[in-house]
Amino acid sequence: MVFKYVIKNFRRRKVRTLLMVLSLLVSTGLIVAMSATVETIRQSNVELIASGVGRYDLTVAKTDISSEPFVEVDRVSQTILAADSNITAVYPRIQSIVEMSGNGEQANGWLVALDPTVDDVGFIDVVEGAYELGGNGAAVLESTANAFGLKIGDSIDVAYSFPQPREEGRPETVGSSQQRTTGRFTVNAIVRQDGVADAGVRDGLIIDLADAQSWLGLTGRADRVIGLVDSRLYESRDSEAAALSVRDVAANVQAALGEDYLYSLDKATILDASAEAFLILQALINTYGLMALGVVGLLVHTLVMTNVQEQKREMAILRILGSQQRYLFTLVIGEVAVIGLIGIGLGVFLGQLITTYGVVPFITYQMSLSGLTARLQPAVSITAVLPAIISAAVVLFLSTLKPARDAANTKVMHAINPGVADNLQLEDLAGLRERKPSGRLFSIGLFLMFVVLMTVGLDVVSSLGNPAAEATIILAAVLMMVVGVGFIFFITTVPFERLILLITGLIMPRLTYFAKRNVGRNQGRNTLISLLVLFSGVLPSFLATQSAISNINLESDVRLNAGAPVEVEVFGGFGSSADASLNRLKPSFMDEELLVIPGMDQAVGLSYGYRTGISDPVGMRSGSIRLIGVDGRLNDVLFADLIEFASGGPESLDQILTDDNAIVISQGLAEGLAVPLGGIVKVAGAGLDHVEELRVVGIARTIPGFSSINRIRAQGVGGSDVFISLAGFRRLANDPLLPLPAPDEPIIDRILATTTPDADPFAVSSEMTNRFSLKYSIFTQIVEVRLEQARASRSQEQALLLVLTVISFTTAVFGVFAVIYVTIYARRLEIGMMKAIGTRTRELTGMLIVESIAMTLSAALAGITAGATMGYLFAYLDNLTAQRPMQFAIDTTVMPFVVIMVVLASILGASFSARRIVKKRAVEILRM
Amino acid sequence: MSEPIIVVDNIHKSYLMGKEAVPALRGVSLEIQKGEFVCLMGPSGSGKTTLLNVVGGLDEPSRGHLIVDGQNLVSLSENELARLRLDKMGFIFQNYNLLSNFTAQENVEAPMVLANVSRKERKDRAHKLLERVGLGDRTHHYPSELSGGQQQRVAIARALANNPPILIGDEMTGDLDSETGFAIMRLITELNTEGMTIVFVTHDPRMAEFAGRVIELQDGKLLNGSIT
Repeated sequence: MVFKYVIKNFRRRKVRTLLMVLSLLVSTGLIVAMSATVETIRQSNVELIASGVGRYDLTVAKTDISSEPFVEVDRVSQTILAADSNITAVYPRIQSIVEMSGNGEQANGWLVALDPTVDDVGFIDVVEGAYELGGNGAAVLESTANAFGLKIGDSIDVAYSFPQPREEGRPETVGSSQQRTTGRFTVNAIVRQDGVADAGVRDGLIIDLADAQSWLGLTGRADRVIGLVDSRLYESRDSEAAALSVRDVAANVQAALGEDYLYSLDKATILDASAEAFLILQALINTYGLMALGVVGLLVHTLVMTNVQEQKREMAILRILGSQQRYLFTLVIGEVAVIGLIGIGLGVFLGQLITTYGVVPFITYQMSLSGLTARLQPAVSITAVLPAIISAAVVLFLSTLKPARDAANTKVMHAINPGVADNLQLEDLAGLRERKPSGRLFSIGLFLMFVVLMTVGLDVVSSLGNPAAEATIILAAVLMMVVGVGFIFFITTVPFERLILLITGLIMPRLTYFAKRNVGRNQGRNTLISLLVLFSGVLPSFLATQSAISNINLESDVRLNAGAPVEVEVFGGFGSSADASLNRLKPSFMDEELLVIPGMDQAVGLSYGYRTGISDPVGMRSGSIRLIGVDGRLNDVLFADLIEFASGGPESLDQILTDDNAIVISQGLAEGLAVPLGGIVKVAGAGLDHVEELRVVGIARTIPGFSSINRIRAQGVGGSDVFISLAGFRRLANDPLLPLPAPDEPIIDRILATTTPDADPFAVSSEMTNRFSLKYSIFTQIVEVRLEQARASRSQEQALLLVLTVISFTTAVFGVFAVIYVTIYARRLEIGMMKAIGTRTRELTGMLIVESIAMTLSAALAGITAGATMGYLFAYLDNLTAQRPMQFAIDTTVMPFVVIMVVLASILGASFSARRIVKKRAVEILRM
Repeated sequence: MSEPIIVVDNIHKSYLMGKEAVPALRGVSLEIQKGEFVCLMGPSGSGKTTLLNVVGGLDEPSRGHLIVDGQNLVSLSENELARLRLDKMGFIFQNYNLLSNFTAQENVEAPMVLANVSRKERKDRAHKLLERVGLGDRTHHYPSELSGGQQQRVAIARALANNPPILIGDEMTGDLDSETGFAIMRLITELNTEGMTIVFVTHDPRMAEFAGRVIELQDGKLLNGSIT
């Protein structure tokens, strides 16, 4: 009986049923696609990392203090493979910086020697020739081929320096002679590599390992072996877990091979570092998913409620005939269950199609725009499908509950005298005597407690370290923000509505006359559609605004972080201060090695940061600082437009070079110690009772490259940078009882430099890598290169945002459509009357379209305003605390897209919904 | 006698009920003169409302000719029919069919907006019409704030908005109590005396007494074309 009734209802209300099935189909499909997007993005993240650090998981090489710097290939390979069953392949490599010469050109580059018969790690794009190694044939990397002007068949000479083991506990002996050998190779191919080695390998050549072994006399040996682990280890949705699984594999290899080897897990390390960001991304995507489902829930609720209202009389007759309340409840639930079964089932299928033919190609394309060759597989697993099915089913049930209960509570009077049916009846009195615990009160209580729950909850899950729980809290916070801001800005729909109607009134005065009265005075009906659109607009606009602001501030942020066009920084291996000190540079490094690089202009060396205490002259106020010795005019290298002084001016940075007792401090520190310009401070030096009085000649608000220089007092006294001359630094950082170190003692920790105006920053960067990457533990960064990387990353963010917005708004469009449909259906008598008094079909459709646009566009604009305001507020607060200059920007992609989608949905929704009614004759409509 | 304003010539009208065609009008012919006050009566299913709808251009006949104020309605498109209704007819329904979001004044203005009457003129005219139907003090009230009789008066004022020569009424007093019903009929009679042609349907013989001619229908045919 229930089934028969349900089928009859489907036939009777084809459009509504179709609308519910379609909305469920689309939303489930999109949620499956979104879950798969998370998976695909995670894959692309691994891809991105793999492309950057090489498409292998483990590198095993000898330590630089090992007496034998080369690896015995067979023994080591077998040991590694036996150490852990997750290791699927091991390949020997020789990978080293070499000197290359050919065609009258000479430069450093990478030599990559691999076994082409087995080593298929990464991808080779052949630009010219044939990728055939062996017989002293080489595949030259495109950059080198271009620089040397090499063609197929040309020769290239390669000089290899054998590694010299370092004595344990002592630094590498600089200038000692190294054994060198030279070989000649024929250019068989000009290629680009992706993941064969790390992304830094742009210059150089690839040769057959056998050729290299025979040339270098290293039969059966290589300088490293690379290992691949089972890719399923990366399939965990938790990046941290994936990284730790790879670490476990490496630990097993280490246990098998011993301490004489170095183990590098670059891919896992970066993946681990990205885990937190990925967690937020996941929370964000889940928020989008929930919002899309929320929209579908509202839609189903509206349509089912309309059905129930329409069927009240029939249900009342069933009640008269003796039907139980439970039966009526089952009728409604049964109808929706069948709809759900069809919609969700087809949705899962749709999700697979979207992922395979939409998401994956799009992300692949976006990555290719950034020069990355991505090999992504569509990831529609059970873990992507199941949550979508469960969420959709739960939302469906919740949205049907109220209409089903309404149906169950149908009174017999609805059939006998509908006018009085809603008055209090005898059967209601029984209900009034009951005192049940109220779910609504519980929800209100929970809502009021939410902030506390969230704060405490975040603390608890952070301490327990459960990423899923952390993601849930973040998700709840984002949802709360969206809903909260949505409610706050709901009030703005009214002025927006008026504005839109004012504009349409100028263009279409007659149509607007009717729309104005219907939209403006029917708040009850419009609330649902407005909230639905408003909520859908908040999150995309918020993220788009943040993205636009970071885009426009990208250059200044990168420049502010770097400080100067070129930055050279010493890194300290495993991080102990003793190790770091071994890697410091001599001041002579700048003149003798750095500035001789073509394209380099000026350089200023900065000493390592000496952490010490500071106080006012009487010691009432004190703090801690990081004293930095400056070896040159910072004003010559720093980005001048970003320097800001509270007092003393940029010239104070020059003043400290001539006065060893003068210092420049941050505004935060000056305010913390209450020391004015020209004031005296006491700084503790190395050794007992070593305290010196120094004079403040400059108080800086912002110095690019030094984030601790700001006006925040807490940061100022909590370890901010203080600048002093290099001589003054040596004096303070040295125990007075000990002799002063020699002037060229390694003390430089960081160098800020500039390039000549005509220099190619990429060429300078490449040259510095070639010259220094093996010799010193330093990394060099050119602002232009960093900017390029940052832009590529931003464009990917933008693409993702657009995908998410498309997904969430496609569902919102269905919601808009459904609400407009119901609204028009409910007003059919008015429409009939309008038609009877002489309104033409086109005019009627036009009126309904104007109404729809006014209702939805005003909500979309309110949502955009809410999201954008939050975006600006967050960005402003972020920059206020970070004390960075900020430019405001307006998003020109996502927000216009939202407006276009909403207007299109309104036009299509109103036209389609109205078509069925307005095409009828007036008398037919009035009879409906 | 003046010239006919409505000529109904051998009109047939059938409705499809499932797969079966059910005749509602079977060859009805009649003439209504300008300024006549005509009442259509008959039992349920006799075709009186169908005839009224056809005459009002709300429904099209299956067969036959229909001329209203010199225009053959059968040859008119849907848009032309809408224009004709706007200019030449006023409608009053049993359940008033007022626009719920519009005030009394705005409801009366609605047909004038569609007819492109200037803002000032339509405001003046709407106000005068509402005063005429005795609702001068209710111009800014919404339908939900008016009684049934008052709502029907607003509907009458709206029907008169564009000065139509013909007024079509379908059970105008069906939802009203007798006293209010008589008051409405007196108002309609007053309009008729000013020259407006009135065609209306009613079940109530007391209301039919206001008409100059009563046409009775049975089984889709004119019973006798009698004039009361």
